[in-house]
Amino acid sequence: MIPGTEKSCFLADASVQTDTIREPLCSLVKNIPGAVFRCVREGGKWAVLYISDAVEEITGRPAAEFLRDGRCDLLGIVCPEDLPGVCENLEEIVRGPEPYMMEYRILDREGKVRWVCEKGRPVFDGNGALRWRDGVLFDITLQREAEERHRSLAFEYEAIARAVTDVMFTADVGGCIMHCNENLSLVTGHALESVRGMPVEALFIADRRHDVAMMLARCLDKGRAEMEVDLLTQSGPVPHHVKMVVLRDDQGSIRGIAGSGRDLSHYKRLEKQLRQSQKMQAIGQLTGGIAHDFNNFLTAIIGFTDLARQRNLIHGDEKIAMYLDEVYKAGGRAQGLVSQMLAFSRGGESEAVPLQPLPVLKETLKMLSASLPSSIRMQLQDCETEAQIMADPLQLQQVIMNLCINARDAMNGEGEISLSLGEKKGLRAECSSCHDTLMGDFVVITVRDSGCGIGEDILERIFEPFFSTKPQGKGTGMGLSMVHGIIHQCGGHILVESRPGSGTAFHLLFPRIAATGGQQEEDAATPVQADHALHGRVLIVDDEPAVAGFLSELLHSRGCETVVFEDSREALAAFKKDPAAFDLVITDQTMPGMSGAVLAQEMLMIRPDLPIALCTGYSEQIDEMRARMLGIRRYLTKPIDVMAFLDAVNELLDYRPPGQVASRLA
Amino acid sequence: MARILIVDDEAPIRAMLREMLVQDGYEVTEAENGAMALARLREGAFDLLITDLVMPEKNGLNLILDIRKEWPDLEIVAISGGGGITGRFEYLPIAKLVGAGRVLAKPFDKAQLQSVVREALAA
Repeated sequence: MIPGTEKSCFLADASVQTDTIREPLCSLVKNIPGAVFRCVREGGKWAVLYISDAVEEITGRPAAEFLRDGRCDLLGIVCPEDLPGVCENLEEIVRGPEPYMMEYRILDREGKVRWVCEKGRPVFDGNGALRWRDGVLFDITLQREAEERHRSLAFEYEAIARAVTDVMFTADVGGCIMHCNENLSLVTGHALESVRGMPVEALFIADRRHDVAMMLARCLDKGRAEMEVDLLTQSGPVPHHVKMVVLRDDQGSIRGIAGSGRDLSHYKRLEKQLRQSQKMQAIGQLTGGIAHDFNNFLTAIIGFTDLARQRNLIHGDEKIAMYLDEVYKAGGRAQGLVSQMLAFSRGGESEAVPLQPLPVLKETLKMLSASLPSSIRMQLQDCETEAQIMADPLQLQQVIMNLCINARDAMNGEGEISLSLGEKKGLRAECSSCHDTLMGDFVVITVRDSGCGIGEDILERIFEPFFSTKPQGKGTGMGLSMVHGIIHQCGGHILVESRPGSGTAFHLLFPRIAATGGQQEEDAATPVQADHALHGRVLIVDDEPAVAGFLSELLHSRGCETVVFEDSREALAAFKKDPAAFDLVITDQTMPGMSGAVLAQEMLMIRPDLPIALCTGYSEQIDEMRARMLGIRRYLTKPIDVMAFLDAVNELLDYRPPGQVASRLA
Repeated sequence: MARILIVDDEAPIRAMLREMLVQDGYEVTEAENGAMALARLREGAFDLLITDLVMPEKNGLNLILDIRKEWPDLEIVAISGGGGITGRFEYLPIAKLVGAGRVLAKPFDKAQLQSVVREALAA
């Protein structure tokens, strides 16, 4: 050890001891941002001949500790996991004079792991014998941690890109794809490696590629851009909502574009379904309203014509009698049309009873067979169920006859019409006429023909009133509208399968009802009337037995199941036992023990989605605004208007999915 | 001769009903909505009330409910063209439920009206 040099550098070798060399050398190594060292190989080990002070910044240990007489050497602080690799590298390094570099982990004085990078070169004498190895040790812990963070982030982003169902890509400033997620490759059918380098526009339909190119330019200019465009997928063009944002590096320079595309076909389908469904509802309301007014006009026309005919009997004018007969007959025909309009809008008269469809099908077949030419074969096949449905037998017959007559007209006098009956369990589909999503178990009557089929554009409109493809004067265009009305009045739905040239099948789906003998007799004695829109279980709470009883009877007559409580606390207890058992609660406000508003609050805390209607007198404490704030959906004032009450109940029950109706009835 | 109160917001239908019923010798009074019908009932006794159901002011169903409180024995025939503004309900069965003894769907001719009126008055 040389006195006076301890603080600047430590030398174990006396070969560089002159002041002229030592002083500048010590100053030089001191300023290098790393620990400069020289190690000599002694036996199988490496002893430190020299090491600069900077080693203390890296390891927390002073340089003196590493010198030949110190307590540790450089290899002694290497992490045990990395030590074998480091030793192996050193064996390799000393085979020649080439410089080397290796990165490994060490343990500092406090036992913390630090990453270091060692760069050096072995030095040989004239005879080729190894003299020592010179090197520098740099602390690269921060850099390594940043790299690790970056790597982990990259893995996470890669996992996200794999998990999303959107298509994702990055592109260079020229609009050529650099990377994409697996989904893009899967959806478009291009292999991952072939996507790279492709222009972004090539992913989309030909006539929108110019728009996509403009979008790329807009994105580079404005930082982001989005548009709706059809992606070319393996199954053809599919609408996508495409978004692009500009990619920048740390300095803010534009590196390219990142883009994603979301499949819109599901949304488009839902949008179309909603539009169709709203259209049918609107037409239904309009038709119902018009039919009601027409019936009023017809009442006057038919009634006064009748009076005129009777009066004419006295005067005996034959011509006038003939004229009036014609007016009377035309009135009768108009009456028939209006009743079809009412059937469509579900406002017509019907008497639904529990029935097995098979006898109705047989009867209809018998009636139709006589009127069909022998070149049209008609048969009943695959009638495998004895399940019961709720329907008016006459209306059901009317529906089947209507579909069979349409089938006959679609066949140019030759072909086959088949009727079949079965059950479908766990069905999930979209009704072809009302466009509601339906799910559940159904009894299915199918009318199938081998006729000319229906084109897709026509298929969307066949249930609309007054829509007809038959020559003028041959059809009213009300046949399928009536089928739509009657089937939905029974709580049912319709599925149509058709392709031009391949015939058509109308599947009429009815909720299956329990077929117990006692129930059947009871239902037959008091038939549930039409308006199957009102299916559901209603909890009625009113301390006045007469009011509760009347409301219950009224709703029961419209097809609802009702449970009545005259005590609100008992009603709450029953509700708490099975909150899902009720589809609607109708409660009076002023009741002893617990008011309707409090009852509603308690129930809504358990089931926030529960529809509740509150009935109040004019002078009561709670007003409509407050009721609404509590989450009460409808506020009805006494005396209750029966029509408004039924409308409110209908509205509150109407939003339930049809599948729930089916399962409840089953 | 029996006294009949007819309730309908449509003037031509009231006129037609009046003509048909007067021809058969009934004494007829008219009201164009539920509130007027209640006023007429308070003014004098009637043997039969024929009421439409879908009407402004007070509709036929509520009229029947009110009548049943004060005149539980009055014979009532409900008439309706179906549908209604909402187009969702057939009100005739509901009219029976709330207290109409008989119902008649519009449109109808004189024979149908005669038949239902006779039945109601004989009840």
